[in-house]
Amino acid sequence: MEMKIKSIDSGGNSRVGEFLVNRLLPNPNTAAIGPVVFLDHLYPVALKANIPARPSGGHAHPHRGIATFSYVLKGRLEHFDSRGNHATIGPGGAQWMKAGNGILHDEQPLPDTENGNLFHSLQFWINLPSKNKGEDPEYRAVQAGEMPEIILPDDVGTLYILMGEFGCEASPVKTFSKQFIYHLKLNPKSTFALASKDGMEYAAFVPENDVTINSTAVGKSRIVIFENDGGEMIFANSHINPSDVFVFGGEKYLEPTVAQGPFVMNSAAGIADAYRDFFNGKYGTINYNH
Amino acid sequence: MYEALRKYINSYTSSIISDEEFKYCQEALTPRKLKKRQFLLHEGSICQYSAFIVNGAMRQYTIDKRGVEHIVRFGIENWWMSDRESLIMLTPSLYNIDAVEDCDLLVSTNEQVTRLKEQSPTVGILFQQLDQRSFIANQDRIQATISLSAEERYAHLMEAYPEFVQRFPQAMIASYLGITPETLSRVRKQHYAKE
Repeated sequence: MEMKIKSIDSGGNSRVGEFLVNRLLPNPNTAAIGPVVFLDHLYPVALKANIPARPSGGHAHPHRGIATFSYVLKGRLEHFDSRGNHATIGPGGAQWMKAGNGILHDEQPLPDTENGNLFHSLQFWINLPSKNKGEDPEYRAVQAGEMPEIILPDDVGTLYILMGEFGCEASPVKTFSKQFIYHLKLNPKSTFALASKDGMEYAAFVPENDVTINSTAVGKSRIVIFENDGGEMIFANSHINPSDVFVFGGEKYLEPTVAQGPFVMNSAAGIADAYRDFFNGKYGTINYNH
Repeated sequence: MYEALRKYINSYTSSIISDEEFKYCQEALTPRKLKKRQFLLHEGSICQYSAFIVNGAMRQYTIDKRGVEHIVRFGIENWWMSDRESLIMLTPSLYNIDAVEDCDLLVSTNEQVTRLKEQSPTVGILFQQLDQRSFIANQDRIQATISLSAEERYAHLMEAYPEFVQRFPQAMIASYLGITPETLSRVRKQHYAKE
């Protein structure tokens, strides 16, 4: 049985620094999917070839109460933070940062010089359980080769485990509740079905080429929110090129959530403290000289 | 100082704020004086305060590569000034905010406003109303800027905020309308000839 689709949302354009992004979550129909409270799709964009060697610091900003997860489809992404972490990842890799009790970071997109200087990425925010919000920050750069790659049966495609588990394989990225993010690369004229589990919330995001999801064509940066009725999610690619779908979900986040700007906490007082601590210098400063 | 704020809250929310709730407002908002040409916010720094103008006049503007100022917003009595993006996202601001006249302000950080909204339901309503009105005003300004002629923009400003024309120098009004001072001078002549 096909799982019922609750809504299909187109998101809305928003400007993040100099980039135009599509904000898919939160949206008027859905505040979160499991612990995922935010999803931005940075549209494919041709970067200038002469990117300065070091960011100016003009886009540095803090986070608290979440883990950020930036996944790159094209180009490279360089990370700096106030804990002294620094690394660059390429296509198929991810920058994961558990903000915990507060950190400043800066992410610098770099062009894919072999493909028209393109850059294309996604950013997820994962709401931390209240017991983890007060912990120290952690960081991990995950290179493409470190993401488990599952070759799907009958040559229908490949599934990359970006977060969580699939079968007996697991992503190296740390999680704090039951959740997953899969990058599904469907081969031409191929179909893949994924069964749902009780107590989980599910969504699928299609960045470019349309994919038929439970008999409905979805494409061009749109998100499908499923009604968990115990059915299956069926993804079909009718094109003659591979198509990408991101499937993600998790256990419902049951604690109260109050979000403002770069912070996601459990109360308004928690938000007020986050702003106070920023101006008291508690998140440190970024050293760009690596 | 605080009486102006109390009057403003009562008229904006069409209610009467209790003494207890108003006490929280007094704790959250601190009086501050700004002399003409002093800054509330400098480009490149992070906006720490929202300022409620009790007396005076202010402007928010960018400076382009050629050194030309572009005024995005004016503020006079009962207006709030801040760069909302920088205040909320904590990213370096693109804007300068300075005093065009000597100002008496009540300033508050986002931390203080967040706590105050929890303590005072009336202030919660005030900020909801402000968000709505500011969205409408911004939409109106975008519409006027992209679709009206210089003459129409001036007439639109005179209709919406006639006091701006009295309080701010001509060069600043021209910058706010996105026209040259020469064009403004011509447009003003035409406008008054019609009346």
